[in-house]
Amino acid sequence: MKRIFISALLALPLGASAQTITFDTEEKDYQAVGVYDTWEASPFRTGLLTGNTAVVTNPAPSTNNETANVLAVQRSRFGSNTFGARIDLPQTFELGKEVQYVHVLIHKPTEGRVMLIGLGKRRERAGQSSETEQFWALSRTKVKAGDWADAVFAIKGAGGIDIYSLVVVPDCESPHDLTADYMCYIDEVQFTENAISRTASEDYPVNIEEGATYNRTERCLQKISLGTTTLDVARMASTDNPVYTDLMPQSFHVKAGETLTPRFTYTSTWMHGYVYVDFGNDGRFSVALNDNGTPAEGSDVVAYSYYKNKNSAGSNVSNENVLQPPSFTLPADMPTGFYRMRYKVDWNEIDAGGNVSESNHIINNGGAIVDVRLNVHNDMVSVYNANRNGEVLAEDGTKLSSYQTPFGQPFTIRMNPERGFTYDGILLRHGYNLAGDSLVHGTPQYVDTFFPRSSFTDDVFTIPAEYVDGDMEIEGLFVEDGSQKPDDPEPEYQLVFNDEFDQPDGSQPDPEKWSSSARRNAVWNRFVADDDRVVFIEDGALVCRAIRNPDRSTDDVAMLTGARETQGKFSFTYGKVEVRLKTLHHRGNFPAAWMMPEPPAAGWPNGGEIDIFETIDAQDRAWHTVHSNWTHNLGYKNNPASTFNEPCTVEDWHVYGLEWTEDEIKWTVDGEQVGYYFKAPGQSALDQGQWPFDHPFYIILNQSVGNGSWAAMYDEDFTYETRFDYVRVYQKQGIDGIQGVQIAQPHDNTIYDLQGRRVSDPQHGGIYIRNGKKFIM
Amino acid sequence: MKQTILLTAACALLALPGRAQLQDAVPANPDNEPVPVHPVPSHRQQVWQETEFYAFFHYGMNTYTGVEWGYGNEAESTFAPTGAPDPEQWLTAVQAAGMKGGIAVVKHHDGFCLWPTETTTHSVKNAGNDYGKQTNIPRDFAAAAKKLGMKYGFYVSPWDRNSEHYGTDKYVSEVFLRQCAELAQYGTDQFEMWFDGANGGDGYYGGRNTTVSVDRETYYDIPNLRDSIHKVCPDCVMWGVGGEARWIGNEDGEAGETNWCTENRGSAPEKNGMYGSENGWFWLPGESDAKMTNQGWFWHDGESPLTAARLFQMYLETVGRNATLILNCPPDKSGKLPNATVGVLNQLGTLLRNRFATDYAKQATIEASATRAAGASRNYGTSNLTDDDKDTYWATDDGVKEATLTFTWDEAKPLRYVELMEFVPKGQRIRGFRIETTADGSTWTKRGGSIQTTTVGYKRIIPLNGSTANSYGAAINAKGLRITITDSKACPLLRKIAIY
Repeated sequence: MKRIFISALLALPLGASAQTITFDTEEKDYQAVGVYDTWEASPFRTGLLTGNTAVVTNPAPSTNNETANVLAVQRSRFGSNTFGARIDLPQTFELGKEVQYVHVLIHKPTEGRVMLIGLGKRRERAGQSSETEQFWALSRTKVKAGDWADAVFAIKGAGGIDIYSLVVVPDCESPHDLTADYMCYIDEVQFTENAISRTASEDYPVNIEEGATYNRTERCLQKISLGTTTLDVARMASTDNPVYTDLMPQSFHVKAGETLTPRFTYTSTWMHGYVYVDFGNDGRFSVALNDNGTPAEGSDVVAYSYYKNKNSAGSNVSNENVLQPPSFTLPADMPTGFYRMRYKVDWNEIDAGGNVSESNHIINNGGAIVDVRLNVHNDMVSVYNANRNGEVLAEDGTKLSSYQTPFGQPFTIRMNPERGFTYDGILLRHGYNLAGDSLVHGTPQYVDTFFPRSSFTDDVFTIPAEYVDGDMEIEGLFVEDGSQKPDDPEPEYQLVFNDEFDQPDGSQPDPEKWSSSARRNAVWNRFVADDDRVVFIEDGALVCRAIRNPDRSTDDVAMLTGARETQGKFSFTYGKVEVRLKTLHHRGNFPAAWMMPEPPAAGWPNGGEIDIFETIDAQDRAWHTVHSNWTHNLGYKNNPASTFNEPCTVEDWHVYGLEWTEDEIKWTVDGEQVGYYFKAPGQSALDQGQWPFDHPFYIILNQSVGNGSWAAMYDEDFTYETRFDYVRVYQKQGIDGIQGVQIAQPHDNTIYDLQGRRVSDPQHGGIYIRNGKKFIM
Repeated sequence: MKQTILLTAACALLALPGRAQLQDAVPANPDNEPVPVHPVPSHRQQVWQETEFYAFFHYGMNTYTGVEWGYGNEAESTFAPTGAPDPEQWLTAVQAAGMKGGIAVVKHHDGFCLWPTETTTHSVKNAGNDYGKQTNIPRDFAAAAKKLGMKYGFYVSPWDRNSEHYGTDKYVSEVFLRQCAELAQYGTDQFEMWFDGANGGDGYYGGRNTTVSVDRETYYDIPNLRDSIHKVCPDCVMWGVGGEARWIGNEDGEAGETNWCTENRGSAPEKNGMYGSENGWFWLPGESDAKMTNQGWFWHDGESPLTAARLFQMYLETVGRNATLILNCPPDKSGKLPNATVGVLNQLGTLLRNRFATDYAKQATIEASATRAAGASRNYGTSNLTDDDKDTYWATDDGVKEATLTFTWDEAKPLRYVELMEFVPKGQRIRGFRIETTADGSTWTKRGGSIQTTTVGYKRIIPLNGSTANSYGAAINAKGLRITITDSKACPLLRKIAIY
């Protein structure tokens, strides 16, 4: 029973309130079960109807739930949308200020969201009913129909509240269309501190292993096109190329009703092309075909060149050597939005996950799969504003409600703060489904972008065309006069740490500031070596290299790579970092200047990661990213945008900058802002680890090599090299400013001045730092 | 494949071991009443929504300092009215404008209390003159409302920039909750309590002069605050963070043309408040808060009122779009509404009375393409549309989601507005409708210009010329007007149709 969960359970730190409720008859771990309805006039509250719950034999055991007995609840058409099964708990638990997660296994016949309601009372309030509704939590994701699925609810409260009963609402859609009741089943209610679903199934499955690469050197899907737009997939054929490519940040722009011609640019012949659009945005490509080969009603296949002697136009195909599929027409009533689209080169296989038969395996055939977005737009997009204490207007002063502006054209706005208020900038949400989830089955729907006050001239700002890629919601960040963020905080910064790497050629970087990173199993550190062939000073710069390991007899790794970090020597909270560096183009190149949380800290990604600079392969492109529980585990990479990249001649010297404050992170290249991430204004995102950036972080400079998962597989014969000219860290001026600095060596009595420099002869009356604390000499 | 998946799911259900239902009782329905479309309003929310149009009175310390958000360090003596504050004058003036109630600010973010509270010394008790010391706004406001037959409620700011305890649990239990309880002394028939969303930030905080941030989702312990208040004031809707009515998302006096009373809790109202969510899981009707003056929420020297015509437009764009309108009328330093304000309120009342004077629907022959079968003790006929009884309604049979109501007159009538009201106690249903008129009885012309005729809700008013800004132009002379319901979640239920 529940074998599949054991490893997950062991890994979870259970809170004090940890309890699990099951419905096995021999171990009754609930007090009572019944029904509850939040609707005061419900027949279940007036006593007209009763019953509707019972413990029954598990009607549908599956790998997700093999338990013998479960709780059945009859979804009543006479109850409200918040009617559900009530479980009285054997022991109360406190609804605390920290988020807890309640997991419930649910088996239901309809897909949809479910709700959890908590009934309880304030502990000290005598006479208060223990049936006071304390929270209504929606499940984090929709629950799929037809199998046991884990619904996860995040709950919290003011503290001092005891929860006596839970109400599981198995379907919170309105029942008015029901002509009959139906059965839902509930099992294994569990309390944890972890939001990860116990049964999540994969969206848009691919039938091959993650990260699998081509095994043929002459075949390569280089480009995909739709109409006149072409996107690059791979530059050249190589066994380093992944078979599956995610181009989700990019999209084809089309309109409903349009007839479109898809094209594959492929280096070989005797393969077939398949194109899919997930019209229902339901996380899978459905592939039903009519007898004549045309896509059936509700099918997500839009075009294919060959499958069982037919193509998607319904023609018989006698020549099997045909790659390019026929054109297709989008439905005229297709709603605007972002849809997942898939291009696939494969042999005689309609399954969007790829042919994995022994004789015609997609990898052995040199096939490929690419996912991209389809942006179905209108000629005009809608603009909304969301403000208090001021208005965002069109340039001519028109209000932005039901306002229309052309798709893909720049749009100019004007700020109009109320009396006594000014503004810090705007938050622009652009895309579709703006009030809903930012990810629908992993497909980004919109991106939040911040434009600071400094972007405005005389209260006017033009939103660049690339952001007008769907509807726009513009939130004016109006603040009281005098409390706006200063336009230019630069002058307040003072240097607190730096290394100019000016030591003699061939020497090692200053061991007081730097140590070698440890070799571990991650891609970036799997070949790290503390070796002067891969780390040394030359021409006033720190050189980090990646070279073939010349002697595997004592150290059996393929490559040796150089990495230096300040862990245990210097870390800081908030400030500005500048790193001047350059690297060399080559397949598999993967250098970085980045930061990780100083121990003790939560593990990756919950503790956070801040990437100042990364690039890969032969790209002329710099990447800037933060990672966290929010972006990585929960997948909110665009809400707000958490990764940025822009064209950049990475073989030339550039200064990559990071400005980090208590509520925002900005990236710059040569002083120009290229990325912006910010602390969520709402507590619920913070509770889910959206901003782990309030702790000291240390700096890492390294040259590593790829493995095909992002950067391509390395080339053993190449000498990879990145040169770091300097690293400078600044913090806000003033005595308070140094509070952010942490000199982490616990018993290091070295004395530093306020600029972070070691001092050998402190002067009487001066202010210095020792063991992270200020003192006056 | 989609078909296949559905089929598998269906098979799994059929295969469940002999347990199709746990019970099969069906409640009796002798009156043939339609089933509700959930979510539906509580009784408290129904009564609140019927208030429709009411006033907001921003008065307090800020009136004397000229700022909108006081920092919390203002000396109590600064509060020194030049006359006795006169809530009866305020309410009399807004009643003349057609308003049915009002909400008085009794504590704004600066923390100064306009009644002699026991919770803090920062109150009228220490005001700067005798008028101030004798001020007790909640007492006098409630008394005046009762005298005038109006509804009343209070604005009490959860954010308190004066309190040294702000940010601690002690503030919530011993200051904020007790203040709410003290206000109940002045009347338990409050119709709404206003909890501003502005929360936390910098302030005086008893001399701490710091920034306090609170988790607004949990800090005020809203579920138990709601429980306590409803025990004492059962019909008091808790606005905003209270979770029983939602902010319309702007302060411009404008609701969405499409506007659902249903919404999901936790969606930011500044983003979606104008529209609601068609399939929201809670009944959270919109309230539009707007200013009738051209400066701040509080009175400021040199301010002037908007014109009555502009306010009439605001009425059409809020009350006429399924929202309530709370219109701010700030008293000045004398504690009275300025004469200019009173004058405009009078003009607005005249406009509303004159423009909605003659309801031609009551004189019309009404034909419905479909009418629900009557039950034992109630019918669903078209006469319910014009009987001014909020408990009766016209309806169609279950499953009939399209219908036409045709109003005809022997003589042509001069028409300008159509008002529709759904019977919302059974849920908001209508998703689309169309209004047409005929001059000759046979050719029909669509009216309402480009106004979206999607939702109706509690109340919808459509100016037939399509302009809310200039709605009272030349009348359309018509011998017939028909309303076609083109889409509805379930059988439509209409409580009222008026044609002016």
